[in-house]
Amino acid sequence: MPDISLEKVLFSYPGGVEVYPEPGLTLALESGVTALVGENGAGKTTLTKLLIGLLRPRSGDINVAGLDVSKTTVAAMAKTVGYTFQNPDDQLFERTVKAEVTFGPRVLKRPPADVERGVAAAIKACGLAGKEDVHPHDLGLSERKWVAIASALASEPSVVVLDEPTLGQDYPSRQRLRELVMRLGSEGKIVLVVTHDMDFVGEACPTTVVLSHGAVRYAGPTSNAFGDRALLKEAGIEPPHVTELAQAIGLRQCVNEAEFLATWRR
Amino acid sequence: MAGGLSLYQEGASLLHRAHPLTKGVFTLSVIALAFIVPSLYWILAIALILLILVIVAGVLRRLIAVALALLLPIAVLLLAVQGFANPANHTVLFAIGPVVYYTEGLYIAAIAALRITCLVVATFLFSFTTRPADITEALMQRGLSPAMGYVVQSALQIIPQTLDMAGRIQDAQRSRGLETEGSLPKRARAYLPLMLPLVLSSLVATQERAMALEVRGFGLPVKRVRRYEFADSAVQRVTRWALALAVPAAIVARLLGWK
Repeated sequence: MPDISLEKVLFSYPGGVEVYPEPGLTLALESGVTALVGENGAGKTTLTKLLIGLLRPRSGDINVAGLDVSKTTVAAMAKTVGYTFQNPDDQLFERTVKAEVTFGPRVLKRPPADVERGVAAAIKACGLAGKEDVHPHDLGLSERKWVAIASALASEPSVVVLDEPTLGQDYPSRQRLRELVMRLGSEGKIVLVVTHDMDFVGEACPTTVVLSHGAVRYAGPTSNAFGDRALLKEAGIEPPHVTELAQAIGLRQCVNEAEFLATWRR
Repeated sequence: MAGGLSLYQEGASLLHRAHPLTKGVFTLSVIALAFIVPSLYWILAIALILLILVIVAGVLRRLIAVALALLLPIAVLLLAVQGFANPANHTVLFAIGPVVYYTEGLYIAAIAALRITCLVVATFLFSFTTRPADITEALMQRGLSPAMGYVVQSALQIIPQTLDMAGRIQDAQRSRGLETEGSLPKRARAYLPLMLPLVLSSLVATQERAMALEVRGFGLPVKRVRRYEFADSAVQRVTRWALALAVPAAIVARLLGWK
């Protein structure tokens, strides 16, 4: 029983073309970290918005962690799904970081002890300690993204959707993001990361879904995806640098530094 | 959603190509004249001219929809009230039992209904064939200050933009667990947390727009050149003046006893 399933989902924006070609998008995701990759306009963000009900499909079934999305309001989905928007400015509306992060668990009416715990853990995990009273718009883009991530995590959801989390992040920030994503995955949560950052995919996402022109071209282990030249070309993806380097010097397939070093030393 | 609150419909007709000022003067004069001219025949003549222009502009179908929704109820009401109850009524047109319908009322109602029709049709004809940005651009070419032009233009855009922003904030709040769907009280309550962020982000957006304008030299005290000129012609200039002068001329004629 997969934790997230989409069955023949059809969707189009008002006045727009079909995002997912006939017979619709079918996809199953299990717990752990999954990367969602593909060219611009492939339908990645649309997919994530369908998962929480911000967009409603014209036909097809979507189930997320036992919930039938079509029968659930977005607000009720928020108990289960922590969603971060691609652009943090679409998401932040409170006057302090603390208020922003607390908004979710507060309106979900979680017990005060849970609110306290979730908010504190989210602020710590996102490196925002000491910035609780700052206005989110006084922070830089990278930190605003962290506030957005923290506010999605504060309700301790079992499904976490991160849309382009690596955008504009420096090295320490990426490291923190990698650790966070891997920890959430090891806790048994379903983590879906939409990204163009293949180095990050190689480092933090064991599973990858490749979307191209609205169709699922691949779903499975990340290493196989990066081994398939034709697939990468079709979906407009550049493999991680370390994968290209390993290939160039004739080492066997590897998708991150750790694998590369292990292969190299052997 | 960035299209603004515009009724404009893309087209290449004579009216679409006419100078915005010509269309503006025409619209205002025709509306004024429809209310100034004394008899039904004059108003019918104006209505006929408008009908021909509507067909030329290729917006007849759209206009009929508007006319039916907007004008039909007004016309029916006018015809009923005036025909049955105008104090000037004395010539019987027909009678349904004890209820009598009079010719004078019908005439008065027809005049009133046709005047309103001219007003509505002229206004929509203008809106359908003129891009809002072109109106302000034409006025600025005639000396309206760019700052005023910007104010007018942004006023046309601010409502869709604000709705867009409100939608985004509500999406963010819903996706964090704020119930915005369901019963009316539930939806009403969801508007409160929307207000403050909406006002704040509108202010931020205004500031950013002002900066964007400034870095592109909006406030520079220099002489401006035009990226494009609207095609004008002697015929259009004469038409504009003729229409503009026809209004005071008609008023004077009425005062001198034109019936």
